[in-house]
Amino acid sequence: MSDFSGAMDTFYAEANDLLAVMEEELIGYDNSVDQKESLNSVFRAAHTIKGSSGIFGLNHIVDFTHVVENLLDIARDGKVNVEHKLISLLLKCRDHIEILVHTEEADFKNNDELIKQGKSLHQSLLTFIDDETVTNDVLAKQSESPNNKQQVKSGLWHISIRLNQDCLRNGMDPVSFIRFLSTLGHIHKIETISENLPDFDNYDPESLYLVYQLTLDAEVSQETIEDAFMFVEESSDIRIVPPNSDVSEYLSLIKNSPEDESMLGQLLVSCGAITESELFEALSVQSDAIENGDIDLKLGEILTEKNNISSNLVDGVLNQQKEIRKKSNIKESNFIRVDSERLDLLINLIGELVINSQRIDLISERLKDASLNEAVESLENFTEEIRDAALDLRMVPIGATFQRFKRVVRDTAEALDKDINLIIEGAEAELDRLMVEKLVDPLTHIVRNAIDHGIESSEVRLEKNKPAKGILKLSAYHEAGHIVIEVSDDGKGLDSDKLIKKAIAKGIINEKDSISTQEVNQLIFHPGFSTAENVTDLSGRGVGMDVVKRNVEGLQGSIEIESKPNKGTTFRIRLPLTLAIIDGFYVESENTNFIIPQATIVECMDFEQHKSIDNRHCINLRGDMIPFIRLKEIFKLKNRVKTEDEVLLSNHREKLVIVQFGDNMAGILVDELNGEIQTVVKPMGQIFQLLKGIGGSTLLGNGDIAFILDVPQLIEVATDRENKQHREREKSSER
Amino acid sequence: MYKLEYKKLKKGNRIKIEGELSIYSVKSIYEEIKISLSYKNKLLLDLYHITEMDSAGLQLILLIQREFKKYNMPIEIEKQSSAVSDLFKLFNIKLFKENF
Repeated sequence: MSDFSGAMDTFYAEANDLLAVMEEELIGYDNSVDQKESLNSVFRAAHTIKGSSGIFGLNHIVDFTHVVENLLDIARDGKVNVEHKLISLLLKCRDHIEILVHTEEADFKNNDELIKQGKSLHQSLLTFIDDETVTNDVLAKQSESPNNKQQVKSGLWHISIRLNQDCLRNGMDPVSFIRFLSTLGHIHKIETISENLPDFDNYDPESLYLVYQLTLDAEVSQETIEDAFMFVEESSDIRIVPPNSDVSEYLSLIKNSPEDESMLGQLLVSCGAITESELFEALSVQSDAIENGDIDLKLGEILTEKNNISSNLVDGVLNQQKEIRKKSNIKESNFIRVDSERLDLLINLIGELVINSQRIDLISERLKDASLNEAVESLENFTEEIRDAALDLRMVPIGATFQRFKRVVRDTAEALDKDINLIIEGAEAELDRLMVEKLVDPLTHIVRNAIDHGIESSEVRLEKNKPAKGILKLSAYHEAGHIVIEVSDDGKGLDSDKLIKKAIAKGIINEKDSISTQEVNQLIFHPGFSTAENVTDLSGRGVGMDVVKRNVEGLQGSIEIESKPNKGTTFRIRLPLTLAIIDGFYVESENTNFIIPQATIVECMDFEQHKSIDNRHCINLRGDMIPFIRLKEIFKLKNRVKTEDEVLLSNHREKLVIVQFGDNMAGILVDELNGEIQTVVKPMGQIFQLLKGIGGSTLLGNGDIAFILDVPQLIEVATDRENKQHREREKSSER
Repeated sequence: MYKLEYKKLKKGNRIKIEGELSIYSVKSIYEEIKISLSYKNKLLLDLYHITEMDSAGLQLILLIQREFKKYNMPIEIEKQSSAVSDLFKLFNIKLFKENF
């Protein structure tokens, strides 16, 4: 059995809760309005503690609690007079259970006093019963121990698989379970029950409606089979009936199936689990625990009743249940589902509102009316808050997207026969819903690539002294107005020699070019570049890394690679949090308006004080070499006619805005700095798709159009040019 | 990564699905089929060019089959790829028995 500690914590937590319930109910019993219900609660608590203890093999708790439970059961039936003295005794028993829960079994065996105490409590309990047969009932040992899951049994196992509707969406496919089961033995019979499929019009193609009933001919332990379902969601219903089980087990399976009983019945008959007459009898009996309305069963009770989920599952289930309960207590009633189109409409309207409030701002400035200015200012503040709140509505945690990759990783690893552990970090980091959707494709490609080309097969890994199981990590975190998503593996890393050779062969670079590691890694983003010697069916899908890069850049993001030979590769995608409305910095160059996204700006300065170095497009900023670009050069802007003022003062100076994206910095030279402005991003039309350096446009308050600079692309242009010039200089000095 | 073709032929309407019929594409395939599906004629399914199918895909086929049964209209799988027949076999789907 796997690590218990987490599950044990949960067990203790639950036991403490239940003990508290017992205490509360027992103390309040005398004054209780519904004494029967109080007694029921106490019974359920004891029953659950016993059940959970049994699952963990804590027999000292089971043995003691069992008798208490039996007495409570009889008391429920009114066979015992529940008087004040009994309540006091039960409270003592409760305290004893509490001590037992906090005592290790090994310690218990050496603790004679505790054992004696338990026995005397049992004796005292018995004095409340006059009937001898009842006494025997109370003392009767449990007929079945829940702890025989490891026992290997051979024969026909019956397995009923009813998965959570969302499991497909979450990357879980019943196909994989059934394929796995078929590796354990022979699937004797399988029945796919499709009667839950809704009408065509109400059908949700991404939900799972199918139910599977199968019989597996195998020699395994129940635990092995259960392990296959370790990761299914808790609301899934997996039932396993071991070979040669009592007929009643099969019958209860049939009765608990919401589907057509006869189909399952026929299946069981056909594989010999039950006979036709037994089936007939079962179907005609009209009684069911569920119908009796005993809905308030505690988790542990259900588990022990079903008696078919091993402790491995209990951990996860208990935990999840707790968490969900906690969350739902606070939040559930507060959620409201809204069509995303209505949300988009709201964002658009707020965009217009922002532009209009800027227009009002301009007008009020011109009117120079103090009270109007004040009112406009507060209007602007509120507009900003509304904007942020509205954008927040569109933010979703990236976790759900990451979850999808469980399936991708599983499938890919299976196809390539690799053993991979997927680690997900930062699932709670939020970003714009639209971005999430567009991220799936590039991420899938990177993940598949990492498994295919990055992580080695188990044999190779062992040779290299690495653990046989490869690690793939998906993580997300926020960084200065951006979200960073990393896909890292612990595989062989990028082979830079191979990359360079290939690049030379393809004519992407020259043999003589000296090229930095970062540049080498960037080569894989070149169209038509693939170093895989064999194109597998997984990576040869016609989507290259160049498409990945283009997709990411389409989202105003950037992608970089960090790779160490034999240590692994990390793909780092940086994305802005949203694309709809941003804080911008309004600048001008030759009377053309530009917006620089505020999040990318490091500082602004007078250019003249930082003369460029030796005619290079580079300045020395406190010891750092920083390349810069002139907007009027890049966009070939026409010289404007200078205004009279400027000619008179002749002190027009260029200003330098230092921007940063990731680890790269660059300067942008502009004529005017006009200050902060809220910018509603309007995408550029199709024809401008190839335009580099501009990510969108916006309307200014005065009705003018401003272009939003695509800082990552501009930085790339600046560094590329600097690198090229650098190489040229080196070449000429060689001559 | 899929392609859907809906053709009206003399012997019935034919849906030809190419590529992936899986959780990744099933939603758009369903939406496309929903628009064009007619229960007035026999339906022919050409699944020969399906490269990948999972439970979501299988379920959609079962749904279409059931709908046609409701309208008492015949439905037939003309051709299927191994990706499809493997899954049918795995799940013991006998709905299209005549085609095995």
